Amino acid sequence: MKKVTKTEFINFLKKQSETFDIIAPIKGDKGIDYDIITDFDKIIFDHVNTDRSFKRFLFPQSQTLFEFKEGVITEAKKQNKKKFIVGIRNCDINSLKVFDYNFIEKEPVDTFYKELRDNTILITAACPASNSTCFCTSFKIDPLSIGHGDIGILFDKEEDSFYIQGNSSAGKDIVDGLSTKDTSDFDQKKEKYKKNHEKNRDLIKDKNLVEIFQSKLEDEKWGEIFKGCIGCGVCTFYCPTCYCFDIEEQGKFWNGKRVRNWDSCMFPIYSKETTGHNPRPTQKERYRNRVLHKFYYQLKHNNEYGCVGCGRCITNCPTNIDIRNIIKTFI
Amino acid sequence: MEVKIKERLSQLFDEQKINCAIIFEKGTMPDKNAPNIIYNKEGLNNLVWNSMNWNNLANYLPKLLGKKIGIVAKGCDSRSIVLLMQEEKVKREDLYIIGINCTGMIDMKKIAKDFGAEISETIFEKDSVKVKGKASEKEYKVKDFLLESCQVCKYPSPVIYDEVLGEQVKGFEGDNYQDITEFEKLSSEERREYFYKELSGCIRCYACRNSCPSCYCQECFVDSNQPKWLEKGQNIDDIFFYHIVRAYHMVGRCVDCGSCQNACPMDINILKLTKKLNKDVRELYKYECGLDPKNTPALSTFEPDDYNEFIK
Repeated sequence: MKKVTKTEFINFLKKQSETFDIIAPIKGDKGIDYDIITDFDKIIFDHVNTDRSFKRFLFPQSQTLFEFKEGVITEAKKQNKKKFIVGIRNCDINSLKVFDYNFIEKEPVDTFYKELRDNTILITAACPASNSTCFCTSFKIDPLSIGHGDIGILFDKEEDSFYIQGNSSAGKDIVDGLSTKDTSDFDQKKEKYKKNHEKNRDLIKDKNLVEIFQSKLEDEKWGEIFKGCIGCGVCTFYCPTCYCFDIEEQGKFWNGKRVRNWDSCMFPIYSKETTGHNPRPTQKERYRNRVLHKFYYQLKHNNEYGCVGCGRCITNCPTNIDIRNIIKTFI
Repeated sequence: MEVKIKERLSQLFDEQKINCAIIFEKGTMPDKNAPNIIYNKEGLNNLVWNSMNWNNLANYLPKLLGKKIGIVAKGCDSRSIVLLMQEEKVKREDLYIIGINCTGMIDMKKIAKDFGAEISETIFEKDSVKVKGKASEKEYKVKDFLLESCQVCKYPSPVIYDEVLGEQVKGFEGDNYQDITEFEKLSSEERREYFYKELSGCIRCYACRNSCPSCYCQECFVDSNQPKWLEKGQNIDDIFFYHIVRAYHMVGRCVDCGSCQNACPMDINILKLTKKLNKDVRELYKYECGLDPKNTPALSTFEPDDYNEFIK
């Protein structure tokens, strides 16, 4: 582990920008969100979390797979500049377990995701505080960890300094060149931030969700909890672990491209079959699927939760559907 | 107000005049209330009435077709009810409307920005809200932080109701489409630039569509793939196309409740499109939608002696 001043850290990022596109949180019109950085002094380090997760940089909302023109297929242009994403919170970095399992570990490998994943350096940052909507500790995530991603950092606002640690071999190589100050007070600093996370509630408390939901697949409460839901895609598009997509051809049949776009299980067309039959005819079934996919199916097949407790679906839902209430209803 | 609404709905459940009710419940967050449908009077326990109830409750009516419904309706909700009655999506005799003289809804996003810290509690007084955070506290006047649509609301009192609660409220008396008149003065390039910039943030979650009571189609044109009307991706022209067509489907059917804009998670100003069309309908057809159930919506009627040739 190393310790550097803020100026040194900014200079370090500036140096990296020669090889990488630096993506970091900055203040926009709506709130704090990731963007490609041109002015390094504008990067924000002491926020709780960004408006949207970084998933769109590894899994773009709309991605061209290939183009075709008069019978000739050309591969989509690859982005040649590597990415360097700074300030990823521990909830968000854990969402990659879901992506990696589905897109890389299972055959066939999704080469489009893998390519972006392999060409991105991920810098995780210890979270300075929890919001009232944070519940990452439910999923055994330590908000103050710096052990995930390629590089982990902890920003101490009081001293304006960064503790920085290389985790992967690529990360270690990058951090290697930095000079350092004494880092023996790291644990002490980490301890100091712990009290800011008291709001972060463990909702699951080691309960076996697979067993619980197994017996509640047809529970009548499913008919109650979704009632205010209007069926928009806000929760799924904001969710760092939602990875569903739809593939379509755009353009004319002799001249166009094949594109994949984010899809949402909240939309009626998501499960509509060619015959016109829809096995999830109402919002109740659609909402149940979303909850079970996060807390039952993925847990059963992959032993990972499909939720990381970032709270974005709660903050952005126009009708205040609260996934924490739904967990509480069933366990 | 809350006590009165609870009392009345409870009686209505007892008298079996309604078998469900659309209400607002206290939300799980201090800056949000939750619209919900309840089926018995126990459901009334969490009922709340304050200035965060911006959702248009008429949105849930088409899904409850055939039930006896109690609904708490602000001015805009009641106008949507009129529209849904005109379009035969709900029957007047199935409804018991508790009208509320609305004093305007507050823009919590704007307040959150001004407050600067996480809001841990909101306490509503008659015309103000006290916002509490971890280390600070601030009081806001509701009328200084009204939602855009509420600032120029001409019909805060319900236009149709079985009973009405609250003191009579005076509607906005100026020109509610003043901003559109200003916007019309811009050149077409400037206007296009405005929309391209504004809509570039759209993530196509369709919260605007789904929070709109007038958008009740079983299958929306964006969800249709046979025929496919538009592409699904993030191309700005597709996004613009979606918003324009959505607005066109609203001609003479939009009640200016602002739900679409308030639901938008990306804070996009989408009211300009619908407001422009509302203004045109008012000027061309002397018609404002959702005021009288006996009227026929502007684009659903024609006169045999219409001056246009194509209609004959």
